[in-house]
Amino acid sequence: MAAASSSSASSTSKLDVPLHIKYIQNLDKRQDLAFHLTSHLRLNGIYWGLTASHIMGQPSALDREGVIEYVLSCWDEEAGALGPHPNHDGHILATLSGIQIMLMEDAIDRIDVDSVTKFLLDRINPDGSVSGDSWGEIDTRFTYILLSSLSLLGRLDRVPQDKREKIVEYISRCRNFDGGFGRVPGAESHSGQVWVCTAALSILDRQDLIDVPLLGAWLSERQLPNGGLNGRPEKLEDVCYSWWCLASISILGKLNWINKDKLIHFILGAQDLEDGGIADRPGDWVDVFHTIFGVAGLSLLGYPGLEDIDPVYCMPAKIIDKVGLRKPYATLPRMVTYP
Amino acid sequence: MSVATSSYIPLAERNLWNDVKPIAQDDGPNPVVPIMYSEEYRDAMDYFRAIAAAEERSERALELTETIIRMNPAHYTVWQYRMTTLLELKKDLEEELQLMNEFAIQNLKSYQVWHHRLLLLTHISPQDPSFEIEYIHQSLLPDPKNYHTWAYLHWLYSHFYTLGRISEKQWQDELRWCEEMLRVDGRNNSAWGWRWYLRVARPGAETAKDGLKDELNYVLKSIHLIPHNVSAWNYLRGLLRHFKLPLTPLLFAILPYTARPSSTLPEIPQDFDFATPSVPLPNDTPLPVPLALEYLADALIEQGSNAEAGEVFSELSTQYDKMRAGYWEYRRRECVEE
Repeated sequence: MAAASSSSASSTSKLDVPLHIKYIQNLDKRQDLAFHLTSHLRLNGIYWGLTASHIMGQPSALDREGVIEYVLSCWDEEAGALGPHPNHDGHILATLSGIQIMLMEDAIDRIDVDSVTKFLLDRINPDGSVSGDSWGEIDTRFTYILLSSLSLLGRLDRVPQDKREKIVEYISRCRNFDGGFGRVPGAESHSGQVWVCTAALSILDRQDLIDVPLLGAWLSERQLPNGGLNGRPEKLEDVCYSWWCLASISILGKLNWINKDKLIHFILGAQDLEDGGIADRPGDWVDVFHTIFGVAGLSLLGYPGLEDIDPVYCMPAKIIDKVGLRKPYATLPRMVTYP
Repeated sequence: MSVATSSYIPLAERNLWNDVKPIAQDDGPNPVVPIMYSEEYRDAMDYFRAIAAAEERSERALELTETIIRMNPAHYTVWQYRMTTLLELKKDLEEELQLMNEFAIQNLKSYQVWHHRLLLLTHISPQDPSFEIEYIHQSLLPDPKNYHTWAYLHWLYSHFYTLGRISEKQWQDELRWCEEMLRVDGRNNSAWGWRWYLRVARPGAETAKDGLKDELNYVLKSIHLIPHNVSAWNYLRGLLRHFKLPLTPLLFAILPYTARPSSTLPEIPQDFDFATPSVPLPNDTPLPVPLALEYLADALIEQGSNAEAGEVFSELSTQYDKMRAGYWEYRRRECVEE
């Protein structure tokens, strides 16, 4: 059915892979206003759906040719970048998703890598911050995206040494008294920003700038009595933090500081076992964003039957390993059955 | 979600748009994700594409961008176009700011609304940004933890401080306001983060020189009001770490939360001049408070009593904070292996 549906899992649920694959495949058949109003997220949406498909063992769930054509139709010639949808301005957010999609579809050679590299390098500001596009919005998310994009394209070495140092310095300035990281210097620590900063530092091989016990403790404190994780103290749990927090703590090498069983139970409870997809918490409406991050979180926790995911790149570990980009991180053994 | 279209007059039927040939949505050759639009949105976007292709920066273009962003506040491209049009037409940016205030009331939220606001303030560049600070304070009332709003407040102060337009009095007033936010909700983690900026991190912050004792007392009092307040504990530990202070001197203020048998609790000395817990503790305080136990364990390590610290971590792991057993086990092993 077209409308978003609410999750309905019981406490004894398992991950219903075939159902979620069907949910992802049917995303483009929706007819409602909400779908088109999220055109600024379209390319991101495909990346989320495709990655989830890969992790659930069905890399061919989406039509490869259709996906590739779509990515190419998002090319913004003037900017030298990808936009989230045809005729949208190129932006760093969409550009990373496009690169990730093309890597997963083994079609990266069809992107104008030189132009994209130039677009990316132009996003670096003198103080080491990174903007999303020429409009100038700054966010450590963009710092991560810059580094992830360049390294996935094999062009990380195009960042001049002095700029690289500035970028590192800027990330350090975003580190707070509680060990966490914020969007800009002084901004509150937030799980999403923590992930982008720890992953960025990992890509730059500067994990030494992370106070591991302190940040690890902060991350483990995100887990609430219901097993779910939140984004900052005194806020609600949300399945997407199963990724932001968990991937971060995996990069820190402290995965066992999160209670695995309680988190698995929480994520599984947020499934819609009638129409597929995963919601932000049990009882809410599903969407593809929470579907990938729920599945990714389960993969990191060693849930049976799933493919490994790389916590730095949020992509299938197989692909990251193949291109030689793997950084140090902790994993839990893949279970054979669960429970 | 549905959009009433019965009374909508398509742009093609309006005189104002007679001369424009709309450009229809191109979803790419074989759309994996074809978009179905409501008539109004599709109409507006078709005309926007035509306007943007011609780089027309006019009043009607401006109106069109407003129409679109009211329906879709996250459309980057349209926001950018609006800003460049505003600047080219030399529109009154303070009026635009008023419009953004209206947007906020109508709950039109997105990263883009905030960035647009930031650009407006940058261009307007008022000598005294108090009006904007006041506006942000007001907007936090119904939504006191909005991450965008707090990040924007931070930008406001940093930006205008760099321009030399924030007075010492304004910093003091801001601190008073922050304290009021924490008085209303001591668990507002965003407000604690803001306090850190005001008291420790900002250029000209005075705490390091002569405000440390007051600052420690402030956070201790907060803990005494809400003993399980994670934000306050993080702030306390942050202060001690940042200023390289030992934990032991403050132990008397912490011990009542550790639920040690009262016979083993030392009496609080007369000359202990830090804020101490209420007697009795607030009604709904389950004991022990895990973060107080962590404090105790860390103080014991400081005193060289690693074995005893290990026991406290063991209690946390097996009894008092089992959810984080993995972390407490790590701390315990660290003590034992020292």
